[in-house]
Order: sequence, then C-alpha cells, then structure tokens
Amino acid sequence: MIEFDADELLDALNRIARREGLTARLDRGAALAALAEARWLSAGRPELEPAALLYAFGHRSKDFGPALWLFLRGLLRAHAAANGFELEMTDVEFATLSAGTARGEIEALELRGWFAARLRPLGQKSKRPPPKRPR
Amino acid sequence: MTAARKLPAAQESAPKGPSIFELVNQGLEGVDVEGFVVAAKKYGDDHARELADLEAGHHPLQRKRAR
Repeated sequence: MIEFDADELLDALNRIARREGLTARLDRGAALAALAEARWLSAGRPELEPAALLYAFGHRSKDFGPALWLFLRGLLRAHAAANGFELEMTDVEFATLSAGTARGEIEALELRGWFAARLRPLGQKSKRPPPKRPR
Repeated sequence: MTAARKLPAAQESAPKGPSIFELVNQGLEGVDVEGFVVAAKKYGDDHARELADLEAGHHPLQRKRAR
C-alpha cells in the first residue's frame, strides 16, 4: 500500500537531484495530489502501484523537474521489490513510457497493462526474452 | 495519563523501514544512471524531443557503449 510521506519523498527527490547535478522542483501540493491519485488508481493492490505511481507523477512531471525520471526509475523498482515483485523493464522502455505519460499520450489503464506484463513475483523465472545488447 | 506517557516510547521503539532515499538508491542498482542524467540534461521537460529521439534510436539510454 502506498504510504509515502510527501515531504520525505520531495526530500529524497532533492537529494538524488543534487547528487547527480540535476534540476528538481519541489512542489508539495503536486506531490500530495500525485500520491492521492496513485492511491486511488491502485485501490490498495500492490501489483497496481508501480503503474499508478508512474502515471500520477508522470503527468505532473513539470511540477518536479527533469530529475523526476531517474528518481521514479529507482523508486518503482524498489517499491515493486518491497511488495514481492520484480519489474522486468529496460531503461529504454521506462524512458518511452515516462515520456509518453508526460505528454499525456499514455493513459493510466494503458500503463497498468504495460506493467502487468512486466511484473513477476520474485523468485519466479522470467518468461520475457533478455533485452538486446546495444551494438 | 500513564497510557499517554507510554505512547511516545512505544512509537520510538517501532521498527523503521528504509527511507525513501534509501529505497530509490536500492532501486537504482543496475540502472544506467549516467544515461538518465544525460537525458535529463539534454531534454529537461521537452518530452516531444525525447520521444522523437527514442523512436530514432538517438536517446542517451540507447547510446553505444564501449566494450
């Protein structure tokens, strides 16, 4: 269940941004709204939470700045793992989904489908082919 | 009164999970952090250009790596 504190989340975003030399905007109202929307979208189901978080923060990306995507990449993987799931998504897939979400071209239900195909219980063997190596 | 005095001590002793900052760092293990940083500096909030580069294979996360 998503129980993140908005202030702690913004503090973590700020620390990641400063460490990597990136811009972050710390809009508390937007963080509260995103967390509330993510809770509503996931309806208490842990397997729906990564998609809900990406959607809720992604379409508000201008309120958080360019550091948001690196932050979310780490947060979603760790959050899925904490709930017993492995997120099988390459960095490029994540970038495609996040940019599409930021532009309003990917809806919450569509994201839910993407994540449903990429979340597997920890310890279960992957059914997806390994990502191609860059040449 | 006694219960009210005991409550803070009970809260202090409750086990605390990792902070959000620690969680994010755990989740970034194995991630191409440098690629995300380059992308963030290159695109900022310009997601149209980022998507165009992803489609064209020119995104920093798709760059050639030295072997």
